[in-house]
Amino acid sequence: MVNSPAGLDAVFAALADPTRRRIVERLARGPLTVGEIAAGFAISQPAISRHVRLLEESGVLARRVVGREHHCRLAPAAMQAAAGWIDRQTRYWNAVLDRLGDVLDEPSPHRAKRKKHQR
Amino acid sequence: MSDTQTTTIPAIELRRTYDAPRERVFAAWTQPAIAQRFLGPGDVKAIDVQMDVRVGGSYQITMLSPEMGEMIVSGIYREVRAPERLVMTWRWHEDDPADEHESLLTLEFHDRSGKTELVLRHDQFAALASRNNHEGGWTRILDRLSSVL
Repeated sequence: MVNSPAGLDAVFAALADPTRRRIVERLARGPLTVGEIAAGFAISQPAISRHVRLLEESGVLARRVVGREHHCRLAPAAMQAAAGWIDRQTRYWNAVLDRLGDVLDEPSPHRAKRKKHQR
Repeated sequence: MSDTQTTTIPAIELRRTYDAPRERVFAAWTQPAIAQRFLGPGDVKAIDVQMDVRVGGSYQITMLSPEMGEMIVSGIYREVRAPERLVMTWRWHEDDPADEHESLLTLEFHDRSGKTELVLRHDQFAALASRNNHEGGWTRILDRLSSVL
C-alpha cells in the first residue's frame, strides 16, 4: 500500500525461510554472535553465515564486527515496516468484509435479473 | 524437526459468515459492478475495476482515497473455481516499483446450510514461491493440495 518503505519485498523474502525465521526469533531475545547462532542449529556454520548475510542484506539484521567476532542484533526498522504493512492490510480487509456484508444485505439487482432469466 | 510452522509475521486470516448463498458471494468478488461497491470501503472509493477472471487472467482496481489520493492494486488469478475458491496475487502499485511487494490472496467460500462462510487469507510469503516457479507450477501445487484436503 502507499507509504510502504523501500525493501519490503526483501524483508518478506528474508522471512520466507524457516531457518531464518528461527534466527530472527532467537535474536528477538537478545544479540548473539554468528557462532552462538550456529550453535543452536544442526546445519553447518557456512550455511548459517549465508542465512545471516541474507538477513543483513534485507535490513532485518545488523552486524558489528569486533575483532574476530561478528555480533548480530535485530534492526527494528525493517521488522516494524513489515508489521506496519500487515497491519494496514488487516484494517483494509476488515473494512472490505464489513462493507461486503452491507452490499449482500441490500436487495440485489443481480438476483432480480437472474430471476427474470429463469422465467 | 518441523520448524516450518514457526512464523514471525503471520499471514492475515479473516472469517465472516454471510446470509447469502455462496454463488452470490462468489459473484460479488468476480463481477466488477458488485466488487466496486465493497473493495473501496469507508471513504475510499473504488473508481475503476477491471477483471479477467480466469487462471492467468489479470485484474486491476483503482481507488480514490481522500487521504492518499489514487491507489491502484493489481494481480493475476492463480486459481478460479466457482463458487468455492479464488486465488490471486495482490500488489499495491507504488511510485517506485522497487517498493512494491507481491503477496497472495486466497478466498474460500464454504456452504454453511445456505449461508456462506468466507475465509480470506492474505499471505505475504507464498507469492514468492509462485514467482520462483512461474510455469504454472504454483497452480498445480494448489490443485494437488486441495485434492488432498
